[in-house]
Amino acid sequence: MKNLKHIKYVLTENPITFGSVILFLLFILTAIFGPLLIPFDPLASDTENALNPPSALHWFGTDQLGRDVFSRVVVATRLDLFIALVAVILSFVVGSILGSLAGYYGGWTDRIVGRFLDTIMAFPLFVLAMAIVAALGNTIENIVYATAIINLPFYARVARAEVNVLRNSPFVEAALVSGNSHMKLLCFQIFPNAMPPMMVQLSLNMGWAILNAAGLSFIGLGVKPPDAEWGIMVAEGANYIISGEWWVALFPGAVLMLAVFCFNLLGDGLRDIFDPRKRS
Amino acid sequence: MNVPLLDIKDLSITFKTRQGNVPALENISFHIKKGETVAVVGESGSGKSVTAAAILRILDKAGQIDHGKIMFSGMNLLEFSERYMLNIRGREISMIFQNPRAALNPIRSVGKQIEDIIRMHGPVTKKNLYEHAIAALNTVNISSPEHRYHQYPFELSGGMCQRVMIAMAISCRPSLLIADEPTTGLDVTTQANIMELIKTKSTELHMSTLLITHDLSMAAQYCDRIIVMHAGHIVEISTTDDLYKNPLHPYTKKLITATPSERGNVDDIEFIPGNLPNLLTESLNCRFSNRCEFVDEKCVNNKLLYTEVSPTHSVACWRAEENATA
Repeated sequence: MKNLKHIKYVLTENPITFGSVILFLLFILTAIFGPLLIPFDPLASDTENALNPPSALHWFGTDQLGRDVFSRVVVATRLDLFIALVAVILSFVVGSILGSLAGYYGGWTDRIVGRFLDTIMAFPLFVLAMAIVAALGNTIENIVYATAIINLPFYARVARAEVNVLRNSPFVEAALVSGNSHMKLLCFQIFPNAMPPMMVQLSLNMGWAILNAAGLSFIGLGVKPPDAEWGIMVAEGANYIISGEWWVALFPGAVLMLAVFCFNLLGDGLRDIFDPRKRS
Repeated sequence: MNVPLLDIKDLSITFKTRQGNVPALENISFHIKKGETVAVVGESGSGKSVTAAAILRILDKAGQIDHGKIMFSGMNLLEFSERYMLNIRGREISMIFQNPRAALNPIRSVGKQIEDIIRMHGPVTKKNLYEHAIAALNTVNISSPEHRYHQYPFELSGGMCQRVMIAMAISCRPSLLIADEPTTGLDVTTQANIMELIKTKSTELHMSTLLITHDLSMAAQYCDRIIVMHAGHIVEISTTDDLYKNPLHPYTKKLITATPSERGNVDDIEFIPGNLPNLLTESLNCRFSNRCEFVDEKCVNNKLLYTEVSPTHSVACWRAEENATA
């Protein structure tokens, strides 16, 4: 009850958070129910009506094969959110564990984890993602792995820094003398306190992950045509911008931008929700 | 009741630092009887908190126990496995800290934090847990515990937080409570309340209390016996009355004159000259010799002498006999 009240408070206090939450819910609903509601089959081509501008029938126009851009943008939501979400959760979980252990135990654990992360960070991240997908094969699964790996260092670093500071705080010592084991300290005392900054990272990363997935598809790695995905759609539409058929690239691009924007704004709201100190 | 609850024998602890070894505690011996309230008094860096950390075995890795025994109810705590220590901490020996607000988890309601410790140490059903937590809040005289249960540390005053800490510390009825400067950072009236609470609870639960403080007058007010520490040595152990009537160590004397009293004039307060010796570089037989006005060759050249003046009063000074007669 109190939690719900708090969430309501956070939402009403900050209109930007409120807006981003609404937008987020809209994306989630679109991802879940969108494929059931779309007016056209996203894969059905209709060459006679290729490259029609937006109209009452085709809200976002049609592409070079006469497919309805609106339907394709809607259907793509599920795939893009799925890739981003799974990748982010994966890197959140692995990154938190690695970072927390490094931050708590320090010494050799810290050194080994630190150098491992530095190695990842040493590559230009997008190039690394390209290399991973190219090496492992062109599948959605591999885009998820690639995205997770390049995001890993960010979580691990935030977790390490937070845990490292918190482990010396008096309440951790107090918990230690009341009989908690080190694992319990780390999992139930320290980590929950590291959550607020982690949540900000999580939300920011959702945006990056979507951009990354779309970027990989844009350059031809990852999702393959004719599957609908924002990155591919922008890539395909890019050929027609010069000849004046702007809608093919613009709409998926705009939705992509909106999604990234939404997740970036969501971060602050999530932090406020997870931090009870904001409850007053 | 011949075996004291806590009996520390000849305990020495060295901290290994990059600059060298620091002998933080040297040959510490003292005991606490069941139900007794004992104060460890000394200035910052005298080894009070290290002693407490050693009892609970929470010294950090740099701190090494060179020799000695910490007998608790007849068993040597230093021989226990880390796993077994988890059952000692919080159940047999608990500790409260200075700055109570920082010693509570900032993102967990105080009620939940009390429940955590009760759950950890006792077979309690989920339903009973809430009642136990409320009861614990009640024992430390917190008003409207049902309301406080849901509050977070930042919503409570410092004194209230310390009450919660005490509630947590005594929730499992430990036989020893270590209070590490429990009133630092609280205002004077709250200080008195907290000390009274600790005193009442230790009597009620037949709990021994080790009070760590730099405030000699507070120690005198609440404790049966006082242990005076200086730079990792125990310089004097005595019953409170005896210590005030007949202080034998020059440091104790200085401490007493440096404490403002109701009768005395503020101008009469004397400072203790000098600082604690740098244990990293200086190896002294008597670690007070640099600051002592009575120092002579005997003090500098011979190992520290512990003299038992009476069964309840011992002092670590070569010139104790002279001081007693003086």
